[in-house]
Amino acid sequence: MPQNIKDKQVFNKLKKKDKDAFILVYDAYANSIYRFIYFKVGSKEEAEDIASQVFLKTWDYIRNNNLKDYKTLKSLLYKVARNTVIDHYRKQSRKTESSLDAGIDDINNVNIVDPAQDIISEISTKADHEMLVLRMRDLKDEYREAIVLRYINELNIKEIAQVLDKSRGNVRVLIYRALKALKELAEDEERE
Amino acid sequence: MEDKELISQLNKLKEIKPSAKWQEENRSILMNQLYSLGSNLGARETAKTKLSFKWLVNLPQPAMAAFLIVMVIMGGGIMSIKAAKNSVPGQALYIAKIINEKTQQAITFDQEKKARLGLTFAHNRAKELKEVLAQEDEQAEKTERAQQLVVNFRKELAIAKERIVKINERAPKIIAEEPLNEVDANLSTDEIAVLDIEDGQMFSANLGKEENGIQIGDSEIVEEPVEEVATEPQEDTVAATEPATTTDSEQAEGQASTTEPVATEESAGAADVLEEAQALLETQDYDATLSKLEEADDLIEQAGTVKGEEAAVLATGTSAVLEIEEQASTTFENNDK
Repeated sequence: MPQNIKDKQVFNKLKKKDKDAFILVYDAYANSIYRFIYFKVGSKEEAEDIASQVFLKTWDYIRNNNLKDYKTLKSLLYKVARNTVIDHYRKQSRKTESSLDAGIDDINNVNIVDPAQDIISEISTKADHEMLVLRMRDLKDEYREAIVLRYINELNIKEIAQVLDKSRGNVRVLIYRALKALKELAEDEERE
Repeated sequence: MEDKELISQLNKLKEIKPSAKWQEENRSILMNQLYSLGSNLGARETAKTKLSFKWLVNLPQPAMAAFLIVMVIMGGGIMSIKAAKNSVPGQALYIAKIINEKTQQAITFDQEKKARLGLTFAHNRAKELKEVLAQEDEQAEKTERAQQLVVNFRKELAIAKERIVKINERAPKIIAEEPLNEVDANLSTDEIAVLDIEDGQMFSANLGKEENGIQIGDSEIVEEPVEEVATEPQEDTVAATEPATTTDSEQAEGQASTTEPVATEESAGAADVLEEAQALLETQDYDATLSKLEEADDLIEQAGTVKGEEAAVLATGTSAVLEIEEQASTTFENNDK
């Protein structure tokens, strides 16, 4: 059965507040939601904490609402994820002064490559990935978000438009600008 | 650096994943939360719905007797309807099921609800067909029942399609917004060109990969006019608005800002989906048929929800719609700050 029919069946079950269906959703989306949050907060531990909260909050929303406002489950999950990250930053800013460098050290320490890989390719891949992740941190939040959604989590334009509450035209322009900005960062580094 | 090379590198960042241990632990925690929340809810709901029969004691005996007789008859009727719900042709209670469906149809007057009811009955026929074919009865009997079910399914579908046509005829004519011809001064020539690119073609390293996702309605991409341009990014002080906290007025604004002619398109989309369902039934793909029927049901439901609000907005004219859209975008952006 095609994937989109399976997704549709799961979404229909969620409208009836089916708990087993929600566990399937967790299995399907835990990695991508974690990744989305990780690129926002830059810390593995924080990303894991926030991701846990996202699924609980999403279930809470599903229990108390009828999902009519959402065409897809993806848009709901990502919106809850965005809002949870914002709440997290607010709490953090109340506790300590915010630091622009927060999280960069964490990126350097995060093992973003599967340790089971061959050591040499692991070192080289890790270096490339780390450079790219660091460059992403230098991007504006809006641009970074667009790139993560489009090229890393592979949402289509329509889905991104629903998550970001923008028109599809705006999303395309945003992605174009984001990619251009990332390329310029890469080219600036090569020149240095 | 080439775009494709950069995109290819970005794709590889998919390798960033949480640890398997976290995933497993979190899954267990989530399951515990879901089921403990569920059981608490069940207990509360049970407590609320417990009926008190104290008042019965005070009734005079003949009145109490009459009440009990009525309850038994109603209870018996309700129970037989419930028992008949899963019956299939050949079973004793199947006739009760059909009578119940006809009754429901007769007491429903709203066209949208009638159409959705028709889809429910078509859904039932498709399910019954699947069950009948799985039975171990004599082949001749099975074939006869299956054929009758297919005929009934086609009838229900035809009736549902007729009703969808009626819904379309009654829906207000929604004029698609004229695309804004003025080009925003902030868009460069390249960016204007980007607006013309089809969704699947834009800087995609996954050419040919099917864009999956939970889709509702047609997957055809409809070009939208540009209402706004991506502005300076919001700082991290963007207001967090939980989806659950959206107020009615914000909801209405959000819906008013929709530029796509939703009601007639979605109703028309439902008719197409029914055609697909029929085709799938002919190929004996019953699961897919059932999914298509559910999809059509959702489309009709959405058409019914949106058309009322769209009609109210359009009654004030196109320029007023643009004004409302601008206000809605400004309100949303202010809420984000």
